[in-house]
Amino acid sequence: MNAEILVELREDIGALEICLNRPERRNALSHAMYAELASLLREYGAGDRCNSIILSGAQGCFTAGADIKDFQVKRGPGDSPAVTFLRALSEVQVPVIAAVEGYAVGIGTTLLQHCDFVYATPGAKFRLPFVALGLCPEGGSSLLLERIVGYRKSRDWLLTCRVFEGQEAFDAGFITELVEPGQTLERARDTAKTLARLPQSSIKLTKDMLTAGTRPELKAAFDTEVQMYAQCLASDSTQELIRSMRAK
Amino acid sequence: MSTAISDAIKLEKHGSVAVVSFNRGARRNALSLKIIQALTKMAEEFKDMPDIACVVLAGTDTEFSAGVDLKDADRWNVDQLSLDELRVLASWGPRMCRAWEEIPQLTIAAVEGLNIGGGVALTVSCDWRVLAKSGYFLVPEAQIGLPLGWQTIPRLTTLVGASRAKQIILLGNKVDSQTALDWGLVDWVVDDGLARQHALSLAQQVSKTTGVIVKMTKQGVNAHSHALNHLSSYMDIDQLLMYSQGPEAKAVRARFGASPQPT
Repeated sequence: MNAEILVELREDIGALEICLNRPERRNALSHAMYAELASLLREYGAGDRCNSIILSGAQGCFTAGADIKDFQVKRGPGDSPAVTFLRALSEVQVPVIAAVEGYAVGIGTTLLQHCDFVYATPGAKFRLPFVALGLCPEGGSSLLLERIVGYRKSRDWLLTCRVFEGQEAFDAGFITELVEPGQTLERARDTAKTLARLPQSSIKLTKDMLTAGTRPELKAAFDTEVQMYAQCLASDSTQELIRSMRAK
Repeated sequence: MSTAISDAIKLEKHGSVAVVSFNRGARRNALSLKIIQALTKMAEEFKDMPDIACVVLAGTDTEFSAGVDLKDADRWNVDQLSLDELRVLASWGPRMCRAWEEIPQLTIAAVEGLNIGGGVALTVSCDWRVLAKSGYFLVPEAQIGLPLGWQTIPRLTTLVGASRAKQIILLGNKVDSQTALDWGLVDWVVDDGLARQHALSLAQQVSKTTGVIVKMTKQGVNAHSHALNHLSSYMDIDQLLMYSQGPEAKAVRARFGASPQPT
């Protein structure tokens, strides 16, 4: 299929399915893709036309994260396209379900913190490589990761930048359930079906109540991260690091 | 430093309606060679989607397209190419338009903001056009010293008639939404931001009948109304190539910074 983002409104299961489809780049996300994803989430997030949103990646891979060359482009002030997408994701009112196979790197891991359900394979590979790139967390990670996986794991994953797999992510409470390879999307659809049978107003209300307490802090975390990230990115040492990584 | 222009095409399916949107991520959604090729391939894929009855084509939320990207190195670094290679390169624009015209499903272009040159060529290859109120169509080729190609002349003439086709091409004025509607260049004008939504609801209305009826009707109407289109314009690729070798076209490319640059 010749489109980087495939979207299907599945009326039978009440879900909007979004598939990242750029397999030759392991579904890495470009600026244009962030913009398209953000506008989709804003369009469908209120739940007028679907009861849930499913995120997956094509051909056995979730996403390799950002295009590293995007880090070499001069940026204006304010939210980057990636942060615009993450904020839109964090504001979705219906449940968001992620089906993770293969790699979920960088923003691929970050975005999962804003999903309500995450199904992944035991061998799925997660990584938060921001420190290694001379950057810092974004998209609410500086607040949410510790809330989700605790003090020890959040530091381990963010500071060492090591790869961790599905089993470890499950044990830490980062994902909902481990699923056999090739089955994560079906598992996500099962949950969508379950959700579609429940009273939608109560689902939305409950999701809203679960996130309401964190919302002011989350906004502040997003804002601080945007500033810090921009400072890191603008520094010569970070640009040098990124140049040398691209040269490899 | 990377130019980091990233393209994205999004394909949405809403039951039997598909929505294709393209986003260049920059440059007012100008058409790079890469996105022209991707849109061509996307169009061809619809031949194998019997479950789809209508296709909506949109640019970004705020603009359709600024037309061919005159700074696209892939397209304009041509000095080393043979005539045969040049002909292949020049064929992508008309191929894209033809591929969209030949989509079996009914096609509706949803246009927000500007729609210029190659963008106009693409939208007149669709069956219907919905334009946002403050949007406009503009065919600047002749005024900047280029012939209008991509087999657009017969398509445009079919829609607006001979005199107005010449006005649009040779005067190079912006055609605002009201004029576009009066002339038949577009079929609906809606409030800003609603073009896609209106196109989608038209598509859903069309899809109430069976997909086969939609496709047979389109095929029948087009077979009649487009019978002479290809015959009268197949050679415009060669006219364009002939023209582009001349000093006039070289001067235009130099003026727009599109002359071959060392990379």
